[in-house]
Amino acid sequence: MISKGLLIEQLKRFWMISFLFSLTFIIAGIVIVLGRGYDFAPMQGVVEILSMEDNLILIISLALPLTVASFTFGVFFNRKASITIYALPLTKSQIGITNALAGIILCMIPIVIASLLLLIPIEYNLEPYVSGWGWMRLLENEAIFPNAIAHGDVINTIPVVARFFARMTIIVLFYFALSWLAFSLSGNFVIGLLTGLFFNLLPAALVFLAVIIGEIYVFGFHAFNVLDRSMIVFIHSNPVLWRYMMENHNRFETIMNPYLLFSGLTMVMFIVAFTISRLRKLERTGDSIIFTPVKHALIFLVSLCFMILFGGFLHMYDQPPLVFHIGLILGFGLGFVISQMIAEKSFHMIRKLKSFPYFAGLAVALYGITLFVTQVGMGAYINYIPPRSDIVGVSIDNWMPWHTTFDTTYHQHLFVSNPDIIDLTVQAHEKILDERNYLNITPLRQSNVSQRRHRHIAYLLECGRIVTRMYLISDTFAERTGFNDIVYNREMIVAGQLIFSHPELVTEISFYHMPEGYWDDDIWRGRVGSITYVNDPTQLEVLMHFFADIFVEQRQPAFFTMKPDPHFRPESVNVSFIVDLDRLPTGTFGFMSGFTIDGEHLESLQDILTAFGFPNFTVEE
Amino acid sequence: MFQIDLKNRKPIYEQVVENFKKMIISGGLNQDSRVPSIRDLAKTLGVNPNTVQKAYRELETNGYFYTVLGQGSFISAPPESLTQQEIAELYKALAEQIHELLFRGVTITEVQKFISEKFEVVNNDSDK
Amino acid sequence: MIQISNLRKSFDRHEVIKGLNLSVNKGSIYGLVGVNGSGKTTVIKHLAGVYRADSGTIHLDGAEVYDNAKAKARIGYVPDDLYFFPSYNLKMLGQFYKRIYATWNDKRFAELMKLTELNPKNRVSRFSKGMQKQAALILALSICPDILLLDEPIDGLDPIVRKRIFTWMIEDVADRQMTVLISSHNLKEMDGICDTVGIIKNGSMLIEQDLDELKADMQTKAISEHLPPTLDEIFVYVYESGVKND
Repeated sequence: MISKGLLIEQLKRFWMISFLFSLTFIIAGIVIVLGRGYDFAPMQGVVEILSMEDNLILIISLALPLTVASFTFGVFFNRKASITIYALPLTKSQIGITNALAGIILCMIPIVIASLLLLIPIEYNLEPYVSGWGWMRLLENEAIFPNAIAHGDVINTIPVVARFFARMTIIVLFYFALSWLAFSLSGNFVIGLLTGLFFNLLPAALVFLAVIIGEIYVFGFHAFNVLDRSMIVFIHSNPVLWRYMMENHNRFETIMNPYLLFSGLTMVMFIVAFTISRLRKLERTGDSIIFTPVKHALIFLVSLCFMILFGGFLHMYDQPPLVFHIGLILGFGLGFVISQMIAEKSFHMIRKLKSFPYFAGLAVALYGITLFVTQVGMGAYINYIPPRSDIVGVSIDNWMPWHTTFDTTYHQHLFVSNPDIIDLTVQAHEKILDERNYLNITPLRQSNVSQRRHRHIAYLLECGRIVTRMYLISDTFAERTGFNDIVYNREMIVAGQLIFSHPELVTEISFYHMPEGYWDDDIWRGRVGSITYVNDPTQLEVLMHFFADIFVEQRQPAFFTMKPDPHFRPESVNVSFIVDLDRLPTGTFGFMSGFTIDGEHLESLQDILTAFGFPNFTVEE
Repeated sequence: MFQIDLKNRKPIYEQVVENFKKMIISGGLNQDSRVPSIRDLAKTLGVNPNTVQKAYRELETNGYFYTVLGQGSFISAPPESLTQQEIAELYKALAEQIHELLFRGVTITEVQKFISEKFEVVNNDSDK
Repeated sequence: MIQISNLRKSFDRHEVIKGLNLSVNKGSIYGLVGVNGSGKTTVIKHLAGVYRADSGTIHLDGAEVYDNAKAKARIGYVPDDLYFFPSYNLKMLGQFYKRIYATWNDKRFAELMKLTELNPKNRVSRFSKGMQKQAALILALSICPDILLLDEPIDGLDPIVRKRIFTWMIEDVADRQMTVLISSHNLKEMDGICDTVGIIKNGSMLIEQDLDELKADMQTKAISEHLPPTLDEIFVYVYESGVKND
């Protein structure tokens, strides 16, 4: 099934690539290991290479398969070369498999060499270094060395190097297969690259599209964070990115074991590429896309992408429906023109304009279906409110920074279990659904555009499931449906702030007294205010209740109309809370640890402290 | 051996046949001498072997060659096998030539003189 | 030996070969003649297994040629546009061909290289066009193929080289009954070398016949004043009058 002769010849022709990349690895390794300025640098460098953290390694692992693929498959972009090769006594299957195998071998050689070199044992030979940031670094999260590397331990044991080898292999073969797939569909190199890039972005783009459609057209649809969802899919379709995110951001949902996922994808791509390469017609060499149906599909998809881009952009800026739809049409048109230019490889695509109605027609049909499905077909989703008896907690977000028990960045909630609050929330939710007039709410017609904000409702159910909805509604609408009542409810506000919902966690409060003055005045700089510490539990309890009242007051609507003077700072006290970190409830994403009090609240505070026996606030000159 | 004239309109195989005939008649090729193989002749002349084959076939059909299996082709005995028709044709052509001569004022006696002188010469040659 | 039946081929919805039939006997030197754009190169590419027919069959001893490694192994093909692996010299190409073609003959290759005085150590891409054609030819011949397909091989070569090439061809046809199909514009040379001709016009075969027979048939007043016509005269006549004997 493989042509030995062709295989040998391809290897003979291109062994230089393997050699150069091996050299690149070695040089990169040296650069990484020696390229840092601090003492334990070499160790760090080796660790980063092994865990594939270093961006240089990731870049090389992208460049290698792309280069190899360009050489082994690039010959088929050359018409004369293709003729000569197809005339050889080989079947197309043999040619395809042999070239692929040659490419795989060429890719693997540098990886094997790098792995072998990394096997040279490196002992960790520095004293144990206890530092806050980054040094006692784990090689992995699922580490071989849990938390410390002892003096004399070998860093690069065989399992560690084996993992490096496995990762490199998967990444490189993934991109090799992707390149082959893209090249086999394309007639020339540039289009091949574009196609490869497009395929890599396609899964994420489709998710992005689905999420955008949901957001715009499905009332109440909540996709946490649109970009996040797309990113998750993107990461799952892109091994380099996976590694990058793993090391630099460390938290993202993993849907499945990456080794399995990427190996599977790679195999699928190899098979598809092989099949396509057998079907290629030589006479189409030089065309942009070899297979006409694929060409049409890609033109449509690219037009769709432009349409989505324009539409999404306009949606982000809350444009009225007319503008939004014009934007969709313009986007689609522009995408069509651009993709036809690429397909024709010239600016003269005028004669292709007559096919535009077909593409546009398809787009309109899809739009119609989408509208139908989202407006008519998703009733079950749109109108769903969980049964009251199932709800054990609610969480809301009103977009204003402190009016939230719902963290959209980390998708975490603080659920409030007060039954009255739950009742209020369900009522408001029902009202939102009843009162919505979708001519008012959906992009088909809008009002109060400037005051619309995303507001979230989340329910925690008894079975542990979380149901979330998001509504883009105006303040007046929120007012009318009773949503705002919940927002400004004392319980809710207090629940949203850890120190007030769990005041028992506060172990100490310190007060730093600041005299009045001007922010830009030299005078107060020389002054030192007094500091007072309170840690008696009973006193703390009183103070926390006092502060909770102030906190709630500062989050009522009236408070936000007050504007602080930017220059003058009245006499005030900076309050800081020390929280017992060991007893933080799970899922805590952050908490306010201090705020400032002035004016009459300052006086009340002074009274309380005096009652506890603390001296008055003073100012030392 | 002989050359093929590509500028001549006459088909190549005919030229080959004619050339062989000439050589055999003029005594340049002796009876029972070996004829070059088709391959060799084709290579030497630079012509299509099929053409040579065609020529050889005709020469064999007309009795100029004979073939021994495994050994090749050889010159046959002088062709006594000219058919009557061929003789008649030749005489006809001869007669036409003589008519032309007479028309131009040559006497029949001069023609006869020519024949006897010419063929005495030829006979003398073949005796040698 | 070679049998094409009802071949049809279109490029971009433009039909280039329209139901063409072609037949070549073993050991024959077949000349495919036609004006530019008549489809000669396309037909030859089908024979070499490079193009896939839209419909119709292309048989070598009864077996379809396309994607058939065994069939292609018996074919030596010299295309009109030559390609050699960049930076390769003749020696390296010979090694490659040796691995790919079972019937490769090193000795032959060496002899032919010596005859052409081509330096096996020089890059073929640096050769002049004529030398490149010679290189391609000797590579094809060293395969000792059963069939030699030559697409306008001699156009643009000097007379000495041409003679050399024809000599090699004839040797192989004579020695081992190699079948040859040549396309060319040089009708005079075709006249001297081919035993069969196929005249192709607009993607279909006008006439395919033994050349000598054809000449006998066409020895009319109209074509050549009752003299044996040259291939040139036949070609012009056939093309202009559209005589078909398919």
